[in-house]
Amino acid sequence: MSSSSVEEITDQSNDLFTQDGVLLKACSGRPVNELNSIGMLCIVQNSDGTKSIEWRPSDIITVCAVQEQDWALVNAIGRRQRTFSGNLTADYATARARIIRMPLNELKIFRVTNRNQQMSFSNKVGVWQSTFFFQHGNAEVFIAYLKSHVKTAKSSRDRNTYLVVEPTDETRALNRSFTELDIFQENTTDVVWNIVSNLKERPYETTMEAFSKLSSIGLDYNSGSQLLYYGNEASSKRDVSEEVADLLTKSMVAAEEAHSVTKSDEYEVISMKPTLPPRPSIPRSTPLSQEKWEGLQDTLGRVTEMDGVKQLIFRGGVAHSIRKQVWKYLLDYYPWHMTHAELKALQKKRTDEYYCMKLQWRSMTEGQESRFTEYRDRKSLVEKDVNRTDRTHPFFAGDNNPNLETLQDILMTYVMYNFDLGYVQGMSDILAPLLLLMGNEVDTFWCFVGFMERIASNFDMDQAGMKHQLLQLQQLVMFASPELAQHLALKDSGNMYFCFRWLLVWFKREFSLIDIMRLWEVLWTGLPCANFHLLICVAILEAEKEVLISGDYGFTEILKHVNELSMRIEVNKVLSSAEGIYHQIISAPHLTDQIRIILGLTPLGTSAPTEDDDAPEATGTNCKDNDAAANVSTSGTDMEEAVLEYDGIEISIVTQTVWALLA
Amino acid sequence: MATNRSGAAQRPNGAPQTKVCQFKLVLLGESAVGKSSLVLRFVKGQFHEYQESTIGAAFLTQTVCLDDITVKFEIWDTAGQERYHSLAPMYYRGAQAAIVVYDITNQDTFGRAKNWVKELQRQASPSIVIALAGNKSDLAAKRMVEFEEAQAYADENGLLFMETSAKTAMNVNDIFLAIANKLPKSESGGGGGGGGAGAGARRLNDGDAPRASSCCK
Ligand SMILES: Nc1nc2c(ncn2[C@@H]2O[C@H](COP(=O)(O)OP(=O)(O)OP(=O)(O)O)[C@@H](O)[C@H]2O)c(=O)[nH]1
Ligand SMILES: [Mg+2]
Repeated sequence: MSSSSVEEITDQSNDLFTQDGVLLKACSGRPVNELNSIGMLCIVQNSDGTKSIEWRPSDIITVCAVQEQDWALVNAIGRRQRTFSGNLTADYATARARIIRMPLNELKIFRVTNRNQQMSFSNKVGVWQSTFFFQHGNAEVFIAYLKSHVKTAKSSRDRNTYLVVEPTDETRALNRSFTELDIFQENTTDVVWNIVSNLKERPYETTMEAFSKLSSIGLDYNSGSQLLYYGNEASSKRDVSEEVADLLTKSMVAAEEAHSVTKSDEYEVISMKPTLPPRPSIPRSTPLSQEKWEGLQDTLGRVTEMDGVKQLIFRGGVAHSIRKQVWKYLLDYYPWHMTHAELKALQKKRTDEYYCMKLQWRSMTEGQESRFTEYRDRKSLVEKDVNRTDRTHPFFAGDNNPNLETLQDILMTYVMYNFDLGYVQGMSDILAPLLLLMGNEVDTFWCFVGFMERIASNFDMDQAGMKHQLLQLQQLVMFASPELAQHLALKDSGNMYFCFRWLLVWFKREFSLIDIMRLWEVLWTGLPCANFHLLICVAILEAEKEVLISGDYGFTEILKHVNELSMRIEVNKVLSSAEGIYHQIISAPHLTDQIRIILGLTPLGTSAPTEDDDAPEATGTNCKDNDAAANVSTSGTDMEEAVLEYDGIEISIVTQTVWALLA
Repeated sequence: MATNRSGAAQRPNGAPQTKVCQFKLVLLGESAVGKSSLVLRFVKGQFHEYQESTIGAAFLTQTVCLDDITVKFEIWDTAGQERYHSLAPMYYRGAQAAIVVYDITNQDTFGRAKNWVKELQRQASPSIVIALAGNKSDLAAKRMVEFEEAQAYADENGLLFMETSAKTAMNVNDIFLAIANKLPKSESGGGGGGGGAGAGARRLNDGDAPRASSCCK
């Protein structure tokens, strides 16, 4: 591994994978005082498309100027937003010179030692050029990702040593496919995607205490007679650091047991593994009844308490008798504030529009069609799918069922409404429950438009929307269920593609038609946070965690198991645990901005950095992070705010009306 | 062939202790050609007129007996629509066998099948056994792809070829058995003389014709 000059590194490079908390243990040609500093080990894609392994000291990441006192700077980690956008000071430049990088095409061999906590790399067999220690004990994940970029073979002599072999055509194809669809590679600059950054705000300080203690411990080095010191004055001998690493390993392993104090003669380690607070079990409520719904409308038919209605629907769904009506609002076909008269006019207008678009394709002659390939393609896709959508349900069963024709008509009219998107497999699944409920073609169409508005990106040509969500899901799982995330990563399933079907059609294939109605209406409320559907995924997976991990399920078994959950998931249970997980996440002391952003909360790092300023107040929704929670509930200024408490976790309810209705 | 055509494939019931080989097989082909239906017929002996479209991928297993060996297929069924093409490599990676399916009543699906064959020859494991299935042979009245045309193409490219019907079960077990027979079992060292040959050099001789198993029934 070569030390790189400042010019070599351009900020054009793109992090494909990053792992925090990695200690530089040894590197040939590096000054001693650079050893044992903490940093981030990354797989990066350079601007020319090649890839490298790169280790960056934390001070460059935090743009922290401290260089001399290796341990002092550590405290800055975790609190600061890591960004390259800081001023490029002279110190920064010096720090950058400490970046270690190895082009992947030069990597010949690597090995894992110390219970998977230490990795060494080299571009030639026979000497290890650099060695890193993984503080979080999760080198496996790094290896799993590394192996998705290089083809490896295990050494015949040593199980822990991997030889990098020439990529075969197959892996190249695979890599290409990953490039096209995968979340590990380019096109993710918008999310500087940082797989372990969820874990980044682990309490380094406590771990660091261990290091600082170690740095002053004299090691009785058995084979040699001298007393060596670990720290800035230490000898550059690599085996010494390995010795220390062994010691550390012991302490880390002990620290794995959540929160532990390890004592031995020479040292004491206090370590804490961040865990989520206990999950509150939040009961589901009864569905919004006709009576309540009518009570929420004024004499002219306007729904004034939109937030309150959404709260109620979030808590309990909608009674089937009024679904048909309420869904039109939830799906943005009917504006909440419109009177009956205005709605009537709107409906008339939309009906005309619909039939106008329908006529556009209905009036197409055979000759026209024969010269319109793109139209023909879409039409044939629609026909294929309409024919096999929910045919077991009585509403769609049997030959020449008129409801199939309605499905076909709506989908074809949608093709005209949004020709660019056209028809993509999965849309018929989205439409079927809407038609089943609404019955009326025009209403169904406009509700479908509203639903598609929310999920159109699922059907992107380049799958960008799906990739993005799978990535966010992966980040949420990492945060909420790290053991599961680790298992998935090890089993080649870290990209979460086994959840593809769930996300593409919003769980339509996983529930009966009646259950999917309940799930969808709850999700449409947008409560309690953005991307709650991803937390539904987390909840389902969390419930299967034991099976997946203890059964040591691999790539195939994971997909099979997940597919087979279909029709076996209880909708109310999963809603309740997803909500519980939401409260666990937002009350976690180590909540990261990355997760905040996914859930639509204001990130702390990008707002005013001063914490004592006004707490990030929840805007519009009742979402708020933990810090703010105390303030709000004690302020008592907002008479409309009601706070429920379950298992010590406070859940705010927006309005008195809702509070009254809930009671 | 003496296989039971309507029921499920043979299971190793009562079979003596035989060697078990496990193979990964992937189904590829345009949407609605009948990939899922073929798998369902082979694995469960069922046919659903209204088989729902596949989203993402499905995974199933089935075990068949040859004379001296038990073959376990790990079957990956993929989604056919072009939009989801980019997911396919994730599933054909490491596959030892592939069935590329087209619909004999639809010429476009045959063109699409050829593209899949090309992609597999270029990007899948070089020793992959590829079978071409012209499905929906029960709809011969609406035929748009001639048997001879497909057979010639298969011969040129060293593919196994059969016309199948998931609906009537015709040739469904047979095509899987033919693949099982053609797959190299490790003891025979990767298929004898053909071991080093690229996919393009494969030919189906009469001698390779699928044999129905006698160990199960
Ligand atoms: N007549 C006839 N119909 C068939 C046959 N095989 C499948 N079908 C029908 O063709 C339609 C599509 O079959 P699928 O098995 O879902 O097709 P697929 O290739 O899996 O489609 P995707 O999952 O979209 O890629 C269904 O309606 C089947 O009933 C067959 O052999 N004969
Ligand atoms: Mg299918």
